[in-house]
Order: sequence, then structure tokens, then C-alpha cells
Amino acid sequence: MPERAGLTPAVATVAVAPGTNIGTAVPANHRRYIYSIKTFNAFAGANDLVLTRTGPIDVDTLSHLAGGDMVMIPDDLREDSLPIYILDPADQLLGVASAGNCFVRILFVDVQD
Amino acid sequence: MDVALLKQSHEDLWLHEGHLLCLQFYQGWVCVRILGLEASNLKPHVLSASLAAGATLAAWDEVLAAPNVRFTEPPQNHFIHHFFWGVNKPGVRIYVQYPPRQDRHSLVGTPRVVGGDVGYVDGNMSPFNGPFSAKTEFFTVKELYASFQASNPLADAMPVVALNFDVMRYTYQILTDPEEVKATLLGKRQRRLYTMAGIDPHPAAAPQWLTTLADREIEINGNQRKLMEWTQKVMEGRA
Repeated sequence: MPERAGLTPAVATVAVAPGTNIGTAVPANHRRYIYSIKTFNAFAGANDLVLTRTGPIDVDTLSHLAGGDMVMIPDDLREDSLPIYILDPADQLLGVASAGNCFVRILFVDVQD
Repeated sequence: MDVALLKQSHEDLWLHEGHLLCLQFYQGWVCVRILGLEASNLKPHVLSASLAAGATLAAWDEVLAAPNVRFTEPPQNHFIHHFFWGVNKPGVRIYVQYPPRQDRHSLVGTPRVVGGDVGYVDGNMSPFNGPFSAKTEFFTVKELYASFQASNPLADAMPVVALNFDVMRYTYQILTDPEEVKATLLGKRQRRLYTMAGIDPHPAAAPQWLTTLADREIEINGNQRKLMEWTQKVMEGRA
């Protein structure tokens, strides 16, 4: 369940390799639960967004088939939604676009558990 | 959160007319009978408009209504304030003390550190709209109030860190009859006990005006004693 009062947004304009950090590093003794991601393809053509965390360890790949495509996960963030990505202490979420810039926004909660 | 919901509601802990309350100070116990009550609240009290990542407040927050006027301090001697609080950010750490620097919630011999992992209440333990943690229970009397510090342990700034206080104000009568005080302290009559500030190294000292009223000379078995000092012996089973 996302704790509404603890939700923190982070935005980034993700570029091609070496990529762009999305949000801060996860603090010590915390895990980061990411509940929502929204992307917008600012490149005029197909453009994949690869997400990794420190390692690097692959987290996900989000595909845009054309310029202006958007990806929004989940479609509808609900009170009982589960996190879509989980980061460990000191992890940093990195985005790498394959062809050009992507605008990215995430909503997350850092929790000690 | 699920665990918190199982806790007893703080509203069950309000005292009512005729209830007995015993407050432990450094000098001893003061037992009072509640005569009247009036509910109030303070929501929100903003501790910080934006608490930076890893930061604490620049100074202890005394919940001021105006210079030297504190919401947590009764405005007159004949009131006792009783309150609970919650905080709106799940991760923010709130530390409390009765100034000057009489901590609550210490755990080790050295004074707890603001920003450390000991002796705080966060928004997961005591959410803004409740249920409030019993750890947040405070009794205050004139000249003995609460002050707050906040720490953001996260890597991002926290906008608008705020407290929600649920407050009950009591009028009271101090019990001075030794037998009545003894029966109350030993639990022969239903009462609430509360230690002012912390127990390490010792509870907060009662203000002068209160000791003048409560720490009276009494006669026990033909000996003159101070009432508050004697209550310590009562609680220790030596009187």
C-alpha cells in the first residue's frame, strides 16, 4: 500500500548512454518502493528506456515505438497498489535511453523494513 | 500500520471528572483529582516547511502560539494539559524533551542524539490522523512543557512536516491527605500514574509553585515529613 503522505516524486530527463539517474540514492537501512512510473518519449522515433539499479542490475525495459509515446505504470495508482520496482539500500535508479531523450517521473516511498 | 490499528485508542486514555492522576517528579509524587475537562486540539503545527535531506530543525520547537506562549504549556497553574500527537510524514523522526534537555525515550547512558536511531517516534508509529502511539502521551503543568525536534533520515527533502495534537485540558485538586495519597499511589483506588520527563537520570523537577502547594509538611506516626518525599517511600513499600 503506498503511504500517501510519504510518496515522493522524482523527475529526470533521461539521455542516451551513460544515462541519467532518476531520483536520489536509497538511504542506508531503507528500501525504496516505486509505485508509479510515467515516461514520455521526446525523441522523434522508436526509443527504448532501460532501467537499472546499482550493479548495474537490470530492472526493466520500457519501449516507445514512436515519438510522443507515453508509458504509464500502473494505469491507475490505487490505495492497494503493489510496488512495481524495489530498490535496496544505496541503490540508484539509472535510466538509459536507446535513441534520444525521455522524460521520466516516478513516485516512491523510502521505508525502513 | 496494521499493528498500529490494533493499539488502544488514545481517546480511551483521557481522564474524566473524579479520576485520580499521580505525576512523578524528582521530588516525589503529586496526586490530583480531576475536577473538569475541556477538549481541544492543534492541527496542524508545522515544524518545517521543507526539511532537507538528512537535516534536523535548527532549534527545538516549543510549539509557540506567541513569544513565550506555548500550546503545550498550561497558561495557568490550575490547569494540567494532557495530549497525544501524530506526525504526517511516515519517515520523519520526532524527538521530544521537557526543556531544558530532559529527554524522553532515552535508551543508553549517554544522551540520545537527535537524528540517531534511538528514542524517536516517526509517522509510521504515530500517524498524523491516528491512531496515536501511547509513547506520545504527555502531561504538562505550568512551567513544564514539551519541545520537539525533527530529523529527516531520507535522501529527499520532506515538504511540510507537521504535527497533529489532540489535547485535553483539566482542572484539578491536589490531594494532601496522606492516607488518601497512599491509597491512591498503591492502587487501592483507580488512578493513572505518569512519570514527568524521563527516568534517566531522574524525572523532571516539579516547578516551585507546585512544590509550594503539594510538598506540604505532614505528620506520619508523630514525625514531621515532607509529603512528596514521603510518597517516594510509599512507592518503594517503605512507608
